[in-house]
Amino acid sequence: MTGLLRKDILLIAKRYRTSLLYLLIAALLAIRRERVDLVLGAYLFVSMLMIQADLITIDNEQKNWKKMERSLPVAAYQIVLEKYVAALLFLLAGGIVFLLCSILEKVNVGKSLWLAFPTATFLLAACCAALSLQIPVLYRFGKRVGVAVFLLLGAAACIAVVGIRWWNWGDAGFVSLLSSPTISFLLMVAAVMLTMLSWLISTRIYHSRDK
Amino acid sequence: MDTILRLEGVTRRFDTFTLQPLNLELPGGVIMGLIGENGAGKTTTLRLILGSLRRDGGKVTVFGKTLDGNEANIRQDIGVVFDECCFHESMTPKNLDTIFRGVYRNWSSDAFSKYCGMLQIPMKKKIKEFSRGMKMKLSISVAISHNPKLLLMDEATSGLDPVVRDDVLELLQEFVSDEEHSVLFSSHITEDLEKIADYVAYLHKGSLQFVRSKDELLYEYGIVKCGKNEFARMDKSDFAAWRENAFEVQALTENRQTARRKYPGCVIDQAGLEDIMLLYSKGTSQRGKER
Repeated sequence: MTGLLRKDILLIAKRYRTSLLYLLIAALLAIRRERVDLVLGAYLFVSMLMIQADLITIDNEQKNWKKMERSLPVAAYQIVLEKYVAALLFLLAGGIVFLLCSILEKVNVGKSLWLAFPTATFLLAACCAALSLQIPVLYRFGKRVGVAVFLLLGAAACIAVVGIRWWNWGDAGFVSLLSSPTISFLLMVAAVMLTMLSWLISTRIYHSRDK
Repeated sequence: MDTILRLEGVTRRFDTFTLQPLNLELPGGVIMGLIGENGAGKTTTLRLILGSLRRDGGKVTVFGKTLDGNEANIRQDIGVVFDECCFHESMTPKNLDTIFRGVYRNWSSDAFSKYCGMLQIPMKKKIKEFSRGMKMKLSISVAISHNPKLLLMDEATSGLDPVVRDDVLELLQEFVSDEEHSVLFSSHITEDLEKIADYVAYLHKGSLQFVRSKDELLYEYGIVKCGKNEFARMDKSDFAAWRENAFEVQALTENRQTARRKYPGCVIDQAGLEDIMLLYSKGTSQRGKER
């Protein structure tokens, strides 16, 4: 399975090499304007959705890879698990970038560092939920429907973020709710359970389509 | 020689095609050619061996272990080469080394570098810049660098120029020379199999027609050529299949020497694998039905 993981990381790294530059620009702008939660959060959320979609569909671009994959000493559940592990690794990397930028922002404006954690937790949980929905959809319905779901999720995220900021849906209340360690913990547990359930569903879909 | 692959009554039904109960044994240290027209069931057979396709019946035993539930473990000792390059075009052979090191327990980077060197494959060039011949050579290098006991090749030499095909065949001969490796080589380029195969299995419309040693086939089988009237007087049970054209009849005999004695007035040529395949697939058999 590690071989397949290396393959996906290599392919995604090659594809998103230039995006790292955009990420750097977005991070600098977000820190300067004290908009890490909004700008960088939205940027990373959309990037994660794109990476997840690419992880599943990148093998379709090389139509013969599927044949090769089925001849490798890897079980179907491992093939699907590898996709989830790769997505989670990218998510973790994105989460760390977000957290570091958020900490930098808080340091700049003299706020408590702990304020950086609730939004990072929320971002990770939101990405996990998106991943849990998107990957089975991509396996079951292919790229077109998968991308439609991805756009829907992206739009929902944008509305939520914009709404929280500009329409005063109460971001202070929202952040204070997330600041509760119990809520953050429950959010992460729910995200992990949702991801595991999603993996089981995707494995079933992959297996039934495989043969 | 131990049997490394055994298929017993293996079947698979599709909407438009059925693989009839297939019985096949592959001993260690040999190259077996699997011939047949397009759609005869060669790829299906290979996929059933790999366990990547569900069987409707029968049993597959590889290295003495049944396939059911052991697929992933068994595949550690199987190398596969498909008719087209399966790797992502943005990769380089060096990337493939990194990837497959994490896939196969016995992967040897040294062996991979050695094969790439032998076949003149540049390690740092992107696969999209490779010619078809280079891609196939790369596929074979990947397939044998984990020292598999069994190599499955699915039409791997089709579309290659004679020079590249010769390189590939040489590599295969070297691969089986220690008698620890076997190759099951599906192809409709019978010329390649005449060069390297020890055994030939012939599939026709999903049914295995025969498995014979190549030497037996080439030395014993013959094509009897005669006129239609002359053929009408002949004993049809002497022939496996025959074909008529406007001028003559060509009949396939499984015993050239006997046919020479019995029909001294006829021209009897050695039968090549292509002749055998053509007569079996397009000719008429004694049962009077078109095969």
